[in-house]
Amino acid sequence: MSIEDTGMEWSARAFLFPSSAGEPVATLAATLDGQGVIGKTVAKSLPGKFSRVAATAVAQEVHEAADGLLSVDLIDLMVGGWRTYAALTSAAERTLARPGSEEVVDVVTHRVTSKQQPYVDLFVDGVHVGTVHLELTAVFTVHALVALVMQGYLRGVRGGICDLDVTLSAEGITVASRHDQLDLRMARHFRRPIPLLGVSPTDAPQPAKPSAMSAQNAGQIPASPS
Amino acid sequence: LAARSSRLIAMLLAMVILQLGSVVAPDPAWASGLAVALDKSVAAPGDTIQFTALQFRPPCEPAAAALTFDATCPPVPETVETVDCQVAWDEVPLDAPTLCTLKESVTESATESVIEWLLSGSFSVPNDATTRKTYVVTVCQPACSDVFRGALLSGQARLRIEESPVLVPDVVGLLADPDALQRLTVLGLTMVLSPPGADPSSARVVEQKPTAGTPVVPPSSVTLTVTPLIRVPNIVDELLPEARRKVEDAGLILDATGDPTGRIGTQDPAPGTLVDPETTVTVTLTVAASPPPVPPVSPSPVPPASPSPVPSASPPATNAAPTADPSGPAAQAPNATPVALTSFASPLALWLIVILAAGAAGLSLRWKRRERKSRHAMRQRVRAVAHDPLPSQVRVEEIDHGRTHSVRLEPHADRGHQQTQEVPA
Repeated sequence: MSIEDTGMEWSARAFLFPSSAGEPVATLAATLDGQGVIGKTVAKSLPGKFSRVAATAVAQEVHEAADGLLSVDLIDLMVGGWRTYAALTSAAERTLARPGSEEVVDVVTHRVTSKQQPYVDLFVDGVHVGTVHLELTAVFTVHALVALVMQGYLRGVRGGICDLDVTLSAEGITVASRHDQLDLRMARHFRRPIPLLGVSPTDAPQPAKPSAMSAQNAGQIPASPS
Repeated sequence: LAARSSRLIAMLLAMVILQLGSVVAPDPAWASGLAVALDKSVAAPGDTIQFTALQFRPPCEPAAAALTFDATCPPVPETVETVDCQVAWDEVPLDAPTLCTLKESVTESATESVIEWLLSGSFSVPNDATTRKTYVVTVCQPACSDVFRGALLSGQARLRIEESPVLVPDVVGLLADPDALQRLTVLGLTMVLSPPGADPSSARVVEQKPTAGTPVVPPSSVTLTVTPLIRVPNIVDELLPEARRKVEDAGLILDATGDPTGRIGTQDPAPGTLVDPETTVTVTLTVAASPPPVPPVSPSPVPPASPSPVPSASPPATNAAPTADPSGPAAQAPNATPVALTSFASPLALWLIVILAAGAAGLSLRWKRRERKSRHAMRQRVRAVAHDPLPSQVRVEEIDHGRTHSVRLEPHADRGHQQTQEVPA
């Protein structure tokens, strides 16, 4: 048995910069900061003893660090929103209360808004000299979704069209923005059971030793990949 | 008792995995059912990585139903078997199919809540893997209980890719720059001089750390202990005392042969050669020069004092001149000619001097401009070196200025927050 995977990437990076899929990080970093917002912020932060070329080298490192923050999985963000959506969580509770039962939930059109504000602190010779602030906003408008819920888990989706708007800004200036419509059936995420209860979107499941594996966290799939 | 002991074995295996693997994925591995460990946390493109994955079956309700395996699924093996699994590389499945060997299996009775077994296999790091990057390696294996049938159990581990190690070359005995420097830079290594501040272009390497043949991962630095070299002065045509003073002032030893009153004819090593301190410079002295001989008197151009009224067909007697007084006009002839030329050539010489001066000034300007350009180019030589094992720590060196700064980046991810609201039709 092999993994059935469409090979589609669902990271914020892949969505915002679809043409740079598979390119090295350095290229992505250059794409990411096409307007030079990050470069200017770094140059402003660095002390005068840095030459222009040295400042460019540091900015490149910041680009790579910022690029790493875009690995967040968009589907996980959307599922994080579903964990707060009563239509799904109540179905999950009902199926958990009645072992062996399952529910097919016809989900009305709804909107999940996710906002993240990562940042990169810059230290020179041990002294904090500046911070580059980023903001990633994703708005999912989901239509025509039918969800299969079993034993507290989302076991699959039928249909499901998602209008997705993702915006990335640095220092308050929008550096990338994109809108697209996605077919949620293509997401491999739904081929695995996804817990709808007991995991808040901001809670990271803690590493557990084998013996500590308990009923509470068993079977949980993380909301976002590390 | 059997159930307890098998559970104990499983726990021990898990602990072994945790010890074996340098990197164990955090929560996702346990939460999703596979704890993945790699045999190394840092690898180079093309390396083969061994992995082990301890699989857990989460408890289900009712337990008995959860552990009743579907007839179409293979039964839980009790012995060593090979099962399907797949390894993905930053979410992209690797081309070569991977088979996991089920080395050990520990099963429990259907009434127990946890099943554990151990998988192992290997995969190759793709040759196009980006160095100085950490990849997420995902190992997937299909689950086969009635609850999780068709689902994939997966676990993740992180693997950092670094450049392949290189062997430090032997540079002892070489001139630091360019000989040793070239051999190091071609391998991506950097050079640190000891004592610091030594001029690498006139220093010889006497010791190196790490020693030749040591494997290191670029960009690493190699510390070279150097001794300054001395440029042999030019003493050709010097008298012996002056030559000796110059050589000894430079820290060298003079070994002269020949007439001590003579001048230096040849020297070995040649002028400008870089040599170790207290190297012997061998010279040969030429025979001392005797006083300059009196130049032969040339025939006087002056016509006879008493001109013959009748032109004579025979040439004038020339034997009178050699016998003339050396202090006479014939002896002064050599001086007479330059004096006569000076008055004629002074404008020409003046012009020559002007042209030469202008040329020299032009050359000097050009040389200064080139030097400025070269300095500017040197300023561009900046190296940013990532510290291991902290990828966010970067050392920025401005090579020709000798300035090094430690730059640390701390990326802070934000889990953010999500809100859901229904959209009116």
